Amino acid sequence: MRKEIVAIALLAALFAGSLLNIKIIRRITSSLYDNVLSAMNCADQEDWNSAGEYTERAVWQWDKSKRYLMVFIRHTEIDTVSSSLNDFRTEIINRDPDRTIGMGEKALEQIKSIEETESVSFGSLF
Amino acid sequence: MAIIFFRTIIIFIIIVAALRFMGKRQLGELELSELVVAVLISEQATLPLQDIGIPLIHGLVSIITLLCCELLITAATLKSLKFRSFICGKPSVIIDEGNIVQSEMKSNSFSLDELAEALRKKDIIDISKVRYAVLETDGTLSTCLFEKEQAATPSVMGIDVKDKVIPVSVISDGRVLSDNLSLIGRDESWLRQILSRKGIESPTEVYYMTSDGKSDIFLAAKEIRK
Repeated sequence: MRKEIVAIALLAALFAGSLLNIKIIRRITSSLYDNVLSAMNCADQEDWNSAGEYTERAVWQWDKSKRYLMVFIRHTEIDTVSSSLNDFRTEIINRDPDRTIGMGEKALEQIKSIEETESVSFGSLF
Repeated sequence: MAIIFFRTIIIFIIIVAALRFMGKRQLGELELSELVVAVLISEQATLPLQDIGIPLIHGLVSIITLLCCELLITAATLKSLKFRSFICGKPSVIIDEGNIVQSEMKSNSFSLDELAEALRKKDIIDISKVRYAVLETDGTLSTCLFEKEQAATPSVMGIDVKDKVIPVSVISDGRVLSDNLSLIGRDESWLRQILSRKGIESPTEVYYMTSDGKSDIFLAAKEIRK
């Protein structure tokens, strides 16, 4: 009976851990998403200093979260977001509004895809 | 490289522990759910080893989940007969009173060749000697011969025999197994006495020795290397 109780406890812990992981990833990605979106809006209004600040904040936050994310999500997905954030930052430094918006949208799409991959839905299950 | 090394060690420990929890049965005797778990565990374990881009936790979570499910299924099959027959199936009588039950053969997709092979593995060449044959849930065939075909036992012959003490290993590759010696009620001085009678000075000269503590002694001396 003790084995079965341990099995149920382990399953419950794994289930709770999975839900907590989704919550943490959602918190990380939504904050990242907001910063990139704000940077895009500033870039659209050619406020490059604010856009740069938002981008730096997003990159710093992403680097801080990487240690946690490396344990739970595929490393290729992390590399993709890292690279698109770097491309976005480069375009802001170059101050090209059209390319900045394009790179920003690409980064947003990839950030969103991390959240979608980890979320439990009918589509993700099957 | 180092990642693969450490991951392999972690996965190895987890799989050994998982299989240890599943019990001591041999692979060929696995129940259906156990076989599924064994196959899936080995498959899941290799993923993070082959691709270091996949977090190790992905493999571990699936292995632990499978192990827990297997433990719960085993517990449920022990509690409920209905659940057990649903998960493991029921034994099928393939030969009943000497007749092959063709409907059971068909429903179990068991061919005549397979039946003949399973009987041969049990040293039965003539199928007409078999009274009952049951296909067990783990895929093995159990048989019962007609009374006239069964080997004569002392009880059938009316002979009174006493149960023998089972011989145990007392020396293995030169090492004295003290626990087994005390199991047959003997000690090392008795052992040395027996060895000296056989012209052997030390247990280190013995490759293998078994004894029941009385007259039944098997001794194989070590070969002398040239």
